[in-house]
Order: sequence, then structure tokens, then C-alpha cells
Amino acid sequence: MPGKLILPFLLSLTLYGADAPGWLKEATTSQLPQYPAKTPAAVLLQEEIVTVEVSGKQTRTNRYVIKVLNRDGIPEASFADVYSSDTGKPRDMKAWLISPSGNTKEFSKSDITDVSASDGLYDEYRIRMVKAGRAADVDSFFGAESTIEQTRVFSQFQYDFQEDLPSLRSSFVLNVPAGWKAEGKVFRGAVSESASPEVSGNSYRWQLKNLPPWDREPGSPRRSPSRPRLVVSMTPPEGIQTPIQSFTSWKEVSVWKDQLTQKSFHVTPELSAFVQQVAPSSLPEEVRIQKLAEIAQKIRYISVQMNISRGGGYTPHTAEFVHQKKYGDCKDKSNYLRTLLKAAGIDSYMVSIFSGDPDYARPEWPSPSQFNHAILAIRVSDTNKAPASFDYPGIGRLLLFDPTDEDVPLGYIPDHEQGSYALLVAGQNGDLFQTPRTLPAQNHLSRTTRISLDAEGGLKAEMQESSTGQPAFNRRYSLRQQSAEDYRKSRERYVGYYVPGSVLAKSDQKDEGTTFSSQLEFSSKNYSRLMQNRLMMIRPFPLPANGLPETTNAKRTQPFVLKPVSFTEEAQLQLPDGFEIDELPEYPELSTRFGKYSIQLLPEGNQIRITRSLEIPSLTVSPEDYSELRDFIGQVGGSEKTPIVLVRK
Amino acid sequence: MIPTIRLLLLISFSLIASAVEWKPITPEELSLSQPVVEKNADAEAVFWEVRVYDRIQTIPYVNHHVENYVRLKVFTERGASEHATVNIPYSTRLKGSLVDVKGRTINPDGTVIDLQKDAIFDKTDVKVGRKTLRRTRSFTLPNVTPGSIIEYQWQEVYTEYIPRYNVLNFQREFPIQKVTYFVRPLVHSGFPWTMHAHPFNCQPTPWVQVREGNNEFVTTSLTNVPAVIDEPDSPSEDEIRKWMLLYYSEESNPDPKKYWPKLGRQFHGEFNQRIKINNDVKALAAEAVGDATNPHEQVIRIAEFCRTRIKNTAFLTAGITAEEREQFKFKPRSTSADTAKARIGTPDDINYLFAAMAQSRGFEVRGVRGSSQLTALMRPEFPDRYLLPSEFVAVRINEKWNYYNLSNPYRPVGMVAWDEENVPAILMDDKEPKFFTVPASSPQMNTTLKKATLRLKEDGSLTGKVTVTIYGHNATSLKTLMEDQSEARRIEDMEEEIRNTHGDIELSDVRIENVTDPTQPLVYSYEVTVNGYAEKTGKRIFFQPSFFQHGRPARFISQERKNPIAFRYPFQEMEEVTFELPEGYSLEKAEGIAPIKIGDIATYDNILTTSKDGKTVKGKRVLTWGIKGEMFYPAESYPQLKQAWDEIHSRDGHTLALKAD
Repeated sequence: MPGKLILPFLLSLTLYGADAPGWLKEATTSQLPQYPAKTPAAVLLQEEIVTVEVSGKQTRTNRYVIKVLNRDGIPEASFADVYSSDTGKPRDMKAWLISPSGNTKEFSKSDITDVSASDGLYDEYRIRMVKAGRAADVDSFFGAESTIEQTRVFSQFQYDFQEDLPSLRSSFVLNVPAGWKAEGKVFRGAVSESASPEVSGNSYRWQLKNLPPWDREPGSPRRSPSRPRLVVSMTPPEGIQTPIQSFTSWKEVSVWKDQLTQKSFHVTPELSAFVQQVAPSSLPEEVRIQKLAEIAQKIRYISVQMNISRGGGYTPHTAEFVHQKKYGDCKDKSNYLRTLLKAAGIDSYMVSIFSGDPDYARPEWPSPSQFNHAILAIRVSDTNKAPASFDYPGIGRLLLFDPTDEDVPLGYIPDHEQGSYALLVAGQNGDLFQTPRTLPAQNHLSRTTRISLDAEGGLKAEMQESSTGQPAFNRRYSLRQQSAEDYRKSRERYVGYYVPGSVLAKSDQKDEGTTFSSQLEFSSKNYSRLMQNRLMMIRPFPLPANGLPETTNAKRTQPFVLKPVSFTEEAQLQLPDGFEIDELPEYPELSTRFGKYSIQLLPEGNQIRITRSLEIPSLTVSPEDYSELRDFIGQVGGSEKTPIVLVRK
Repeated sequence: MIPTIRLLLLISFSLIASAVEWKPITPEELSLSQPVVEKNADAEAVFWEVRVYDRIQTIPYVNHHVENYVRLKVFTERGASEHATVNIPYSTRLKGSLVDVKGRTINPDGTVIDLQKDAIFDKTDVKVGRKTLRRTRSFTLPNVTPGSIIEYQWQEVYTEYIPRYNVLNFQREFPIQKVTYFVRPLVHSGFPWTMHAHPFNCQPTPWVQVREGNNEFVTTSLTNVPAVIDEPDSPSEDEIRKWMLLYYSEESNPDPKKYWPKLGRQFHGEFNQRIKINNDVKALAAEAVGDATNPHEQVIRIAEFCRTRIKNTAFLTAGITAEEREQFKFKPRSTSADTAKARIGTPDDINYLFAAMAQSRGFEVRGVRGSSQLTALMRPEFPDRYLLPSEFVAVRINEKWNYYNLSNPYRPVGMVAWDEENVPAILMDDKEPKFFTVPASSPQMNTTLKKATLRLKEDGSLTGKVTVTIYGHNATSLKTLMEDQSEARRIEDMEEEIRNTHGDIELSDVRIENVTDPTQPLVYSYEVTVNGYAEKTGKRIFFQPSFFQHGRPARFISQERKNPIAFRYPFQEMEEVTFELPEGYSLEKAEGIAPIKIGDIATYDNILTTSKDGKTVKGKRVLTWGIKGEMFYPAESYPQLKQAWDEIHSRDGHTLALKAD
């Protein structure tokens, strides 16, 4: 009897002096190339093996081996595997640590943590992980192996050959049922290439070697061209019955998604009555769309992810449910608006898109897996010229709208959805299209400033700003994220950063949908520098121009993304009594492919009228052209700081 | 007078029925259109009621229950967005569970929508092995709009567990019209402990006895409680937030005058249990002291030995490897003799070894238990050990007590941790323990010395070499942070910090030295080019001689302040900058910078000198703060404090003009 008690106790202990499996030992003998000194760790082996059965059951085994290269790499001695708790079953997870002295430690089951994959209300995705923690040291090897069984309805797979760490060998292996075929493509940023696997019977292996480290530089595209992503589609033999869904064209994806969404697309008498009440048909169509869009936008975003592996992630709740609960996720909100519009007699279509990275979705691989977000395309008048409107072949003028984004009004879509490939879910009429991009003038901030100076260097300023497009969205977001008092404090800090000793007397703002306006009044006793009680040095602008990109690093290896924005300011500077202009700087007018910038000063009696403007285009600047961009930004920065010098009369 | 809750409850315990049902909504609550407590609040709790009780399940098993009931009025869209979704995390570590979750929304017209049970989700946040450690119960209340009232209830139950200490919050992230606690302690002949309560930063109503059905409670409340405010340079949250500690004590009615000496003796006994002087300890002490004869020197050598030669399991100094740390067998009551033999120990073990080694050389040694600036400070009228979390060592040298905390090897000998300075503490003794305030380190001990040799160019840019040497608490904090980083990461982080200050800057040859050397100050140096440092007009160049202050915003920007201000420790900033001026330019009537003296608190000097040939300007800036060790300032003194820092900022921005010859 005591033996029965002792055995499980022993099994729960971490084993020291254990023996590592052969694949791990073999990986540790790999020769590493010379990486940059800051590379924290190197992946010696990353391998995912998926075995698919005709029933849809899949067994997925991951193997992972890293070497810790410096102290920053110690947290990298860990492994995580994601599964869906509705259809996935973690079968096994093992991990080993080989210390620099050669001792091997095997982690026990009690070292494995299992955590929710998101902060949402409820999410069936879970992460199993094991961490070596402080047991790891520089030059340690860490290896792990995990097996998960799951049932999936899709015939498609995505595999990231690497994250940020360099990888010596990274493989995806797909074992398909007899007679099935598999085909893969590798995407590197916007470039795609067909990938030739090693084929052995029903087994396909895609492998890349010697992948360099990836360290994202600020302002670079979300996905570096050097980070390869494999996509694989498998196709069954003709005539075989299988629950596994496969796609060969975007039209097929459109039809499939349309079927899922149609189940939740019902106009009830209650909803019709509601629409008539809030957007009566007596109103012009654009006004009705506006009102209904605002209602959908106010629905609280709540994500409840259930039945994910069975397509639950693609099926919205009904509009009736959302209307009653006043919450839903992106597809719920889009479907809700679509239903309200239908009740108003206006056609619209669900749109699938990848939120957060316009370069992510690639046209070469028809798959619903390429998207993570749902928005809506509303049929509008052909005269609609809103930034988010476009012509769709066979359907007509459409206006994109994202009811999940609380800061972007009807007429626009957020910048991270612009220029992205997206899928119009419209049955046989649906297809992939590219979303429109905004122009600098559509993301504009204009400022009017009145400044008066006193003879001691003090300043009083009144400032009015009006913004549209992205600057307005940014301010709206900031206001929404904070209480009114905290927003006022953030404005106080902003002014205080640029104007020493400033006292904020007034901070008002008005959100008018497309336009966001604000007013600031502030003073400072020591804005200008009075030297020798004779010379006064004045910065002509208390606050900087809006939209100038930050390029602090002198050199870079990745492209730099400029976002379209424009700014204008008209200022009136009242000179202090008893002073006259001693030096009035001449500002060069800058016009480059990276942007345009100008300042004009016009003395009028004891005033100076000042205008400045800045325009930055939508442009991806190559690393080779970066220094030229930086010169432009440096010249703008220099102009902004060049002072006016006054002298006592 | 310490409220002794047990005495208020004279009846025997009775079974507690679960939470109260929904309370009626009053017309006033329904029509409320403006917040009562804070005028701009997005939402406000009308009430928050908490029932805390320990209940005998079956003898001897006791369960700990906490029932919560919150009613919130929503005033704005933001309030609706922020409060409609409720996440209630709970720990399952102590067999904890969350039960009786319910909620409802009361529309502005008075109609009620109940939260459906299938809309309440329970998810596992962390599971280790087969054990679930933390879960969250989440729900979104339906149809929440401005004007809605939302209310929800839940009960936490901890099975077979009686917490000795219970923190009762009165203040939360939203304002509350009334917070009420209903408390029922465990009263049983087999349980000799007594429950007490102590409020912090608030004065709740006196405890009164109430009956709810068959249940007896004592209750206290606080009204018009504003939301917690986060401001920089605030004291610890426990020193500004309104809260109450509910705790069980062996003493039924402790007299503080008797309690503290007794506790001091008890601490002394516990401390001495860890001090064992054997031949190993004596041999180490002899090795450490060497030929030193001066008592101060002897103690310093013992301390240096402990922090540099004994492997500290929490740090990387003395070359400890991860494998050694893994194989170290932690013993909860290990003695100094154990540590001397193993030459490796926890931070506490190293302090005990130091005490034993000093004692073995004939020094009088005591343990010290003190408060921490990271939590609430000890109050004499609150007789409990709860607010004395830190422990370190006192050694008497030439009749004067000196304090040492060697738990962090990067802390210079003769200093305790920054949060252990300026706080009340007890010097342990078997006869007469003493209260005292742990002295603050001097500003000079926490000096940052910055030197720069720079060449200003005609185009307004400058280039040069910078060296920064950091001593004291700041060095300890930085070394503690940096020791776990690669050299590349340290340099990258340092470059980022320098760039954040100076903006458009080019750095090269960045070096950081002495990170894991406990005996040397932290030093970093770099070559720098700052484009556009000076402002150039047609005839002149204007530049700021306080190079290290260039681009820094004022320390305090906000005009208003609610919380007191607490700087961590006294400090001194010394900056020595030499500017070589551009050819063809000379100073245009340079003016000096007036010094500042702020009472006994701080001094500021910024002296500019010009070389005889007019080609070089030198600046020496010294800011000394906390001259007498005082680092805490009430909120009412904020305007004066801000004005002082604005003056310093203004002088730091002093500009010199160069004119073309």
C-alpha cells in the first residue's frame, strides 16, 4: 500500500539527472552563426507535425529547442502551445533544461501552466506553457515537446517559421490522409512564393534554415519582409465525403461565409419599428445611414468566443440578441447594423479584414483564416465621395464602416485597415478587394493661435484647433480613454512639456462626429528668454506642428512607414511694449517627396503674422532613403526652434 | 481605544443565510442626474456593502466568507462602457470559490433587466499542473446606458481558512456615496483569538450592532468617498487610500504601552534563534577582519565580506550560477552557522551571518524591525506587527548604533534600503526594546556626478564626451535592474533614456561599467552629437549651458495636487560641463545664474565661468535635496514646492548668447 502512495508523489517531482531525448541532444550540437550581440537566444529547432484524419481529427506535435545566448534570453527558455478547449485535448507536454555544465533537468507536470489566451469576457482558446525561469542560465539549452489532439473544420494551415529569434531550422510537416494532396506558399511581407516541400508518401515537409533575428524598428511595417509565413491548403480526392472544408477561390470563401452570416440575418417586426423610430424613411438616405451607424457604433464591444473550432468564430449573434443586450463583438455589431440597414431598405455586405496590419492578408491564398475582424460595406449613392467609399464591380458604390471602432465615424475607416486586402461577403458576387487609402488633406489639423508677450518674457496664448481624419480619431480616443478631468490634466502636461511654467486656464473640446475641435488658453511667466535685460529670444510657436514623424534612430535596416497627414497654423504674435524686432529669421520652404513644410512671417506694426503648414504623404521609405527623410525632418525641427530676436527700443 | 469586535457580539453564532436580496430602488436614485461625491464622475456607487464573516462549517472547520453588493449609477457613455462589464478575479489557492453571482440593470424608466445565468462566464486564468490557481467570473450587464443603475452581488468563500489579516477597502477606482462593512468574527470557546479593526486615512462611523434576520453583525460605514487618485511622487498607496485592517490577535484588549516592549522582546528572541556562532562563523569573521583594528573598519570589512563573498541566492554577484541557485536547499529556520558553512544563503541569511560575525568579534548587535515606505507606516496606537515588514541589523560602534542591510549586495555598506529610511522601527532587546526613526542617508551618499566636455559648432550642433557616475540608492536600483540584462540590452535601454531627454541625438561608444561589482559606483559614458542643440539666428547662437537639463520638462506641471508628495530619499546632482565655443563667435554679455536656497530642504548653485581667452565656458551645477533628511511634504505645501522646482527649471534653462565676431 505505501508504494501506491509514494509512486504518484515521485512522478510529480521535477527530475534531476534526467536524460534528454535524442532529437533534443542532436539539436544542441548545431553550430550557430555569429549573431548581433543583443540577440538573446537562438532557436535550434522548431517543428510542427500535423497528422490529419478524414474525420477532421488532427494530432499536432510541436518540438522546440533554444539556446540562451545572453541574460535577456533567460525568459526565452520557455514553450507555449495554444489549443481550443471546445475540441482540443492536450495529450502531453514535456520539457528539459540542459545546464551549461551538461546536467539535464526534466520538468514535471506541476511545472506546466494552463492559462486563458485572452482578456476577453470568455475565450475557449487556452495556452499551455512551461517556463524554465531562473533555472536557466546563459548557454543553457531548453527543449520541449507537446502533443494536442483536436478536431478542425478547415483544410488550411498557417505556420510562422519564426517569431523574433533567429532560427537554425524551422519545419512544418503535414501528414494527410491517403490520396489527399497539399500545396503551400510562403509569404514574405507582400511577396509570395510557392514553396516546394519534401514529399514522402503522404507526408509533406516545408523547411527553412538559418533565419536571421528580427528586431522590429519603430515605424516599420507590421510584418517584416524577412519574416516568412507558410500557408498550406490540402485537397481531398474527388468524390470523398469529409466534414473538412476547403477553398480554392475567394468566391468560395465568400459563399461559405455568407451562409454562416445569413443564419443570423433576420429583420424582426420589433427591429423594423425601431428603425422607423430612429431613422424614419422621411429622412434622406445618408442621414438614415448616419443615424443607424451611430447606434451600431455605440453597442458595447464584448467578445465571447465559443465553438471556435466548429466555425463559431465566424457566426454572428442575431441583431435581435445584440439589440436587447446592447453588446457584441465585431461580427455581431456589423451584422446588427446590416440588419438595421436592411430594415431601412438599404443594402450592405459583411466584409472580412485583418485588423492591425494592412499587409497581412494576401490575395494568393483564398482562406477565411487570413482575417481577424469584421466590418461592413454599405451601398451608397454613386455621388458619395467619402474617404472610405469605393466602386465595387457589379454592385456599385460602397462605403466601408467599422462599427467596432468607437473613434472613427461613418465616412472613414481606421488607418490600420486602409490599403488592406479584404473580402466582400456577398455570396457569388463576393470577392477580394483592396480598401481605399486616405489623402493627407483628409487627415488634417488646423490651428489658430493668438499670442501676446509682455516685457518680462511672459506669454498669454489662445489656441483653437479643428481636426478631421486620423488626428481627430486620436484625440477622440484619448478623450474616451480618460475621465474629463484626466483629459484636462493630459492637456496640461502636453502644454507644460513645451511651455515652461505654463498655467492652463482653459481646455475645452467639442466632438462633432467628423470634426474634433478644441480650445486652449494658457500663460507662462518665463516663455521667452530675456538676456542682459535687452535682448528677448522668442520661439514663434509655443506648440509643435502636428504630424511630424519621430526618427530618433540615425540608421535603420527596415522600411519606415509615413502615414498621410497635414497641418496648418495661423498665428498672431503681439510683441511686448518697448521692444522691436532685431532678427527675423528666414525659413526655407521645404518640398520633398517625404513632405512639404513652410513658415512665413509677416511683421505688421507691433504684431507678426505667422503661417506654417506641413504635409506628409502616405509612403513607405526604404532604409536606403531613410537618411534623406531624416534630413527633411531635421530641417523641419530646426525651423520650428529658430527664434525671433527682439531688442529693447 | 482599539475596537474589539468580539466584545460587541455577545450572542452565540448563528447560521448566516446567504446575501441580501435586491434592495428597493428609490425615486431619488432613479432620477439622479449628477454625481454626488465628485462632480465630473462618469459613474458613482450609490452604495457598496460588504459582509465579512468566519463561519464554522463543522467543527473544527471554519470557512471565511466575503459578500459584496454594489449599486452604481451611470452618468456618461464612458461610465457605461467602463462599468457594464464586470470581472471578478478570485484565487482558488485557498480552496476559494465564487458563488451567488447575480446582477441587473435598472433602466432610467425603472424597468429592470436581470443578468441571465448563461451570460456569466467563469474562466481559468492560471492553472499549474492540475491545480487551478486563479479564475475570473465575468459578465456584462445588459442595456447599460447613461442614466442606468447597475447592481451586482457576489460571494467569495474560502474553505477551512481563517485569514489573520483582512484588508477592507473603503476607496475604489470610482467614487462611492456610502461604503458599509458588516462584520462577524468567529466567536467560539475553542478559538482564543479576538478580532480587532484599525482604520487608515479615514474615520468610519463607530461600530454598532445590527441584526439581519437571524444574523448578528457589527457594522461601520464611510460616506462620500472620492475615487482613488494616482499622482506622481505620492507616498505608498496604503498611506493615502482609505482602508481598514481587520485582524485577529492573541490579545483580547492590547495596551500599546505594554504591547510594543513585549513584541520587541519577542522579535529579539526570534532574531537570536537565527544567530549561531560556531567555529565556522568565527573563522569567517577573522578572515574578513584581517588586520583591521579600527572598530568601524572591522565592521565594514565584515559587511563587505558578506555581500561580496557569500553567494546571495537572489542576486548574481559573487558569481552564483542558476544551477547553484536551483540546488540551494532553502531551510526556513537556518542559522548563521549554516550559512557560514555553505557560503551561500538567502538575503535574510546573509544579514544573520553578518550579525553573527560582528557579534563573534565582540560587537554589540541587535536586530531591527521597521516599517516600509512601500506600505503604511507603523502607528504606536495600532498594536500589531503587521506594519513592521522589514528587518535589518544594528551594530553599536563607539556607543552609536549603525544600521546595515546586506540583503542586496549592491547596497553600499552602512545603508539600509531606501524604503527602510525615515520610518519608525524597533531596536530589539530582551529587556527594553526602543522605538526610533531610522535615519535617512545624506544627499551626498546618493550623488549622481555628471561630467561633459563638449564642442559647440557654428551650425548649432555639439559633440563631446559624457561620463556619469552614480552612487547610493540610485546605483543600487539600477544595478539590481541591470544585473539580469545582457550588456547589449543595458546599452540599448541607456541609449533610449538619453534620447528621450535630448531628442535628435547621435550616440556612440556607450559603455556601462561596474554593474555587477558591488564595491564600485555605477559608471556610464558615451560620445554624443546633438543636432540643433543651439538655436541659430542670422547674427547669433543661443545655447543652454546646463547641458544635462536640456529638453527636460519641469518636475511638477499640474496646478493642483490632492496627495502629499514623498520623494524617496535625499539626493545630490552634480554636473560639470565644459563648452568649447565655435570659432568666430564670442559671448555677448554673459549673465550669471542666481543660487537658490530652500530653507533646510535644498540648495541650488549653478556657476558659469569663462576662460581668459573667451573660447571656453564652464558650468558647475549642484542641486542638493533633503539636507535634513525630510522627504515628505503635505499636499498643502504643493504650490511652494512646485514654485521651487519651477525656479530651478527656469535657472536650468538659462541661455547664453554668442555673437559673430
